[in-house]
Formats: sequence, structure tokens, C-alpha cells
Amino acid sequence: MTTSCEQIQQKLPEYWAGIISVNEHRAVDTHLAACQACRNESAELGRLWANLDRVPVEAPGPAVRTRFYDMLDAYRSGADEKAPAAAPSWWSRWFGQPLPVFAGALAMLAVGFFAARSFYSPPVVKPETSEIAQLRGEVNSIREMLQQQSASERLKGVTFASRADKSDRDVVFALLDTVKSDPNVNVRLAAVDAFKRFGTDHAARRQLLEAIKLQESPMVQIAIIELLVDLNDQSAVKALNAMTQDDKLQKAVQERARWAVTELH
Amino acid sequence: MRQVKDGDLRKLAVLFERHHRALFHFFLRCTSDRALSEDLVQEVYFRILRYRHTFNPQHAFTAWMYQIARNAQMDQLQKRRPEVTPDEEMASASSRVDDVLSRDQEVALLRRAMELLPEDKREVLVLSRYQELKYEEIAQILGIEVGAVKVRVFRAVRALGDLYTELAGAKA
Amino acid sequence: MMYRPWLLLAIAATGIVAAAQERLIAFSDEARPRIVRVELLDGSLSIRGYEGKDVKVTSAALEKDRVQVTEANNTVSISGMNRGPMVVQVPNQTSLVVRCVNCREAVVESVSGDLDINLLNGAIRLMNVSGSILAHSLNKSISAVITRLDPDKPSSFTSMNGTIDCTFPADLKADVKLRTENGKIHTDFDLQLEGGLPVRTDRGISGRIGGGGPELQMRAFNGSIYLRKK
Repeated sequence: MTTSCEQIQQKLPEYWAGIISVNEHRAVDTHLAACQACRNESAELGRLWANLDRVPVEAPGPAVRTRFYDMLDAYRSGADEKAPAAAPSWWSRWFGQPLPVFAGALAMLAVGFFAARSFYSPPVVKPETSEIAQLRGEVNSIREMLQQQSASERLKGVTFASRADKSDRDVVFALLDTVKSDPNVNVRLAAVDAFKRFGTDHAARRQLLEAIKLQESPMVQIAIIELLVDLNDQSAVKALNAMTQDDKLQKAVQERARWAVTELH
Repeated sequence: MRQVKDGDLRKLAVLFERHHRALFHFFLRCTSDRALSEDLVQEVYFRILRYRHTFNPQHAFTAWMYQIARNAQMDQLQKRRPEVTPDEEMASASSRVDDVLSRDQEVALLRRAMELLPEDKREVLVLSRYQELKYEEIAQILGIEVGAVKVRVFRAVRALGDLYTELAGAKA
Repeated sequence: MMYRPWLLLAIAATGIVAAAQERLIAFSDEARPRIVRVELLDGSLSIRGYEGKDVKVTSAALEKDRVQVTEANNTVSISGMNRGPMVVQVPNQTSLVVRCVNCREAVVESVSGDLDINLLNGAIRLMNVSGSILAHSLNKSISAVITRLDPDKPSSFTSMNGTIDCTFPADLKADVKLRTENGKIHTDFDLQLEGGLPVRTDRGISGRIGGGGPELQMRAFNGSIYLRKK
């Protein structure tokens, strides 16, 4: 035996799949001819490998496509509303820019401070590059803050986001992301609250409704349901109705969905 | 993908149409949960949209997509960390094998064995067997060397074989 | 104390812990901010600030290696299968991340920093803490005596099925949001909106205290909310 069994074994999947070079194929054949143990194992596992093809898999349901295009519309609708015919909005200009690389937490804090100041005294938007740069800085800093390691910092990011430009899709989606996947319940709850500002946006509301499913905290689920009621979102009734029957949800959540349906009717 | 990054969101629809089926199958084979897999597909495209600025055009889009897919799945599994111990799961799972019809027995056993495989092994097997990915791409997705991918694929098949034999034995 | 017989038990149990194993671990960089991360499934947890530099962990579970204590990047991580009481002493200025899924109780005393405390089925008690506080218990109550809020960062107290009871010094400055669906809201602070009345909705109230300051949210669902002046 010139090659060890282990060396041959790791080539076997490619050998069975027929995606192996001629030389390697020959090496495997040579080894298998000489080594009974490997020959048996290759025969047995090779058959298994081939049979894996016969394990069926279902196709995705039509909802997958609907949901995707809903989301895409939600993202684009804001951009289209905002963009004037003559010149692209600061938003769409900002759009393609690579994210500035911040040199550590110090730079981050500086940007955060800058954002804080400009929020407390709302900037007068003039079509000047400096203003565009300023707004861009705010949005980037919010996104950065929402990805900080400290939950306190992320909660601060949510507070800033709740004061940001209403038509900013990246802020809306950053908040949605926080609602869906922030590890801290307090931060997620605050993000749901911050959404209130974006409530006039139908598409954004639909995304929020979507977020209920991926949520493991019943308290956050209830907060979303209540927000939809506060926003008087009639279009959510159907989905809320389905939630009253959804056994994956906790009882308290089902009950709140039931309450929401009657409130909205 | 370069165009999506540069702001043409309509191109994301093209990517969706091209890849969402394979992505759904990946999740379904890994989780055996249809509803969860649909949610995860949605989540992956949501993240692609959100993090498109982090895409490096020098790399393959599919590899990046599967990296995001793995992260989304891991986040989700963490949230739903089961309270039952693996042993109980194993016992209840193998007892369910009995109601399988004899003609499709082999395939059913194989499917069962796949489900019982540890997550990491099942994942590498699904990636190499079903997703039409090159080993180089899998290496990139998993963040390991190509050689290590080969070793892992073989070990996964071997573990699958052991489970399969065990199940077939229990059946007989 | 009469109304809490279990408290005596807890104190007695703590006495036993003193006999249990203790582990001391240092932070790698004294100049940088310190973080202590505690992730436990069961038991009860008490974290106390003291005037030392190291973290001291006391628990019977240390003996059987069921709890791991490690340090990396100035973060001390304590995790594992703790069943009985665990006491962790930390330097007064330390940020905390506490995740105790089924712990009966988590008590934090005399610690200042970013405090991120999350329990599913246990009560949270905070005594003489300060900084930016994020506390959540899904099913039990939160009670807190806070000496000072971080002026630059928000704080948040949330519980679905428990009461939230927070006491602040009389000179508190904060932008507060209080909300509960099925409970009552009580406060002896004056809530004001600039030049007007506080905003009152069906289920909540928000406004400013002491001319305003960092955001302070208290949110319950089935429990009541108490915002007390010391």
C-alpha cells in the first residue's frame, strides 16, 4: 500500500460523485483493489451516497415568493417616494457608498455624539454636500450603534433611530433587524416602540407583522400586536386572526391577537 | 450581486429567483421543518438586503449567501434550543421508523438517519451532496481548508452509515 | 422581613456556600472597562460589588467542575450547571451581562456600569446600583433601588407577568415612559412635558422628570409599575 487508508477515505465522496481527477481516480482504484476494508466501506457508503439522491424534498410554497416581493417593495417604496425627479435624494446617493470603516470605539463615540447633537437641534436640510454628509453620518452611526456589543449602546441606537428621518429605509430596516434578532428583550421592545414613527408606512407595517413569527419573546410579540392596534392597521386583521389559532404562540399572545382583532373591527 | 450592492434592488429579485429554491431545500434538509425553512429563506434575503454593503464582489455570491444562511439558522436554533435531551429524541425518533412502508423503507431509513445526524455533520453533507457547490466554495462557507472539508464530508457519510445500519438493525 | 420567610432560607444557604469552593480570577487589563458575564440555567445568583480588583466566585458547583470561570478581553465569563446559590463578587465599577433562564432569583448589589440582566422565571432585585440598566424578567418581578442613572445612556425595566418597582433619588432627571396593560402605574415624582402636562394614553404615561435626562422605560403587561422617590 502506497497511500494510507485515511488519505483515500477523504477522496471517496468525490470518487462516488465522479468529480475526481483521472490521477486521483486511479490512486483510489489502486488502493481499493489492495485494501479489503476500504473496498467494503466504499461499496457500502457509496451506495448510501447514491441513494441520498432518492430522498425527496418538497418545493417551497407560494408564500415564499409573496413575502420576498413584499419585503422588496417595502424597501423600495420609501426610496421612490423620497426621490425627486431631477436629482437623486441624499438617500439614494448614500445608498451605494461603502460603509466608512470606524477606527475603533473612540471614533464610534465621536460619531454618536455628533449624531446626538444634530438630533437635538434638527438640521435644516439644504441641498449641499455638507448637509448630505451630515445626514449620511447620522444614518451610519445609527446602524453602527444598533450593532454594538453592549446592550446599553444598542438601546441608545434605538433611541436615536426613533428620532431619525421618517423616510429613511435603512433606519427602518435596521430597526426591523433589531426587532427580529437583537439578543436583548429590552432592546427589542424599544425597537418596536420606535417603529411608531414609521407607522404611516404600510409596507413597513407589513414587515413588522412578519417579524412576529421569528420572535421568541411573547412580550415582544404582544408589543408588536399592540402597536398594530395603535396604528389602526386594518390590513393586519387577517394575519392577527390566524394568530388566534396558532398553537405555536403562547396563550397570552393568542388572546392579545383576539383582542386586537376586535379592536380593529 | 455587484449591481445589488450598487443600489439596483431589482437585481435582488433576479438573485432571489435564481437561488431561493436551492436555499429552501438546504434549510428543509437541515431542519426538516417546512414553516421554519420558509421563514429562514425570507430572513436570508432580508439580511442580504440589510448587509449588502458588506458583500465583497471578489467572492462568490453563493458562498456569501450560504454563510448568511448558516448564521440565520444558528440564530434560530439558539432561540429554539430544545429542552429535551438528545437521548430522548433519539428514542422517540427510532420508534417512529416502524410505521414506514416496506417498499420505500430504504429511503425512509436514510431520511431518518439524516435527521438523526448531528447538526454539523448533516450540514456539511447537505452542502456537498445537494447544493451543487464546489469543495472550494464549501470551504469558504465553513471557513475551513478544502482538505478539512473532504475529511468532514467523509466522516459525515460514515456517521450516516452507522446510523443507517443501526436503524436497519432495529427494524429487522 | 416577616413576610419573606424564604429570605432567611436564602441567607442560611449563603452561609453554606461560604464553605463551598471559591475561585478568584483577575481581569487582564486593569485600565480598561471590565465586563462580567454570567450564564446559568438554575440556582440563584447574587452579585455584589466590592472594593477589590478581581472577581470572586463562590459556588458548590465549582467543586464538581460544573461551572466554568474564564477570562478573555477583560471579560470574565461564568457559565455552567449551577444548582444551588452562587455568589459573585465583582469590582464596584463593572458592567454585567446576566442570563439565568430558570434561576429563582438574581440579586445585584452595589455595582455600577452597563447592567444587562435577563431572567425568564426568576425575580430580579437590584440594590444600590447605578449606570445604564436593562432588566427583564418574563414571569417574575423586578425591584430596584438606583442611586444614579448614566446620563448618556438609556435604561429599561420590563416584565410580562411581574411587578416593576423602582426607587430613585429625589433629584432624578429622566425622560420616562411607563406602560402596563393590565396593571396600575404609581409614582410620586412630578411628570412633566415641556410647558405642559404629561402625555397619557390608555395604557401608559410619558413625560419628563427633573427637566429631563436619559430615557427611562418601565414596561409591564400584567403587573403594576411603581416609580418611587427615595
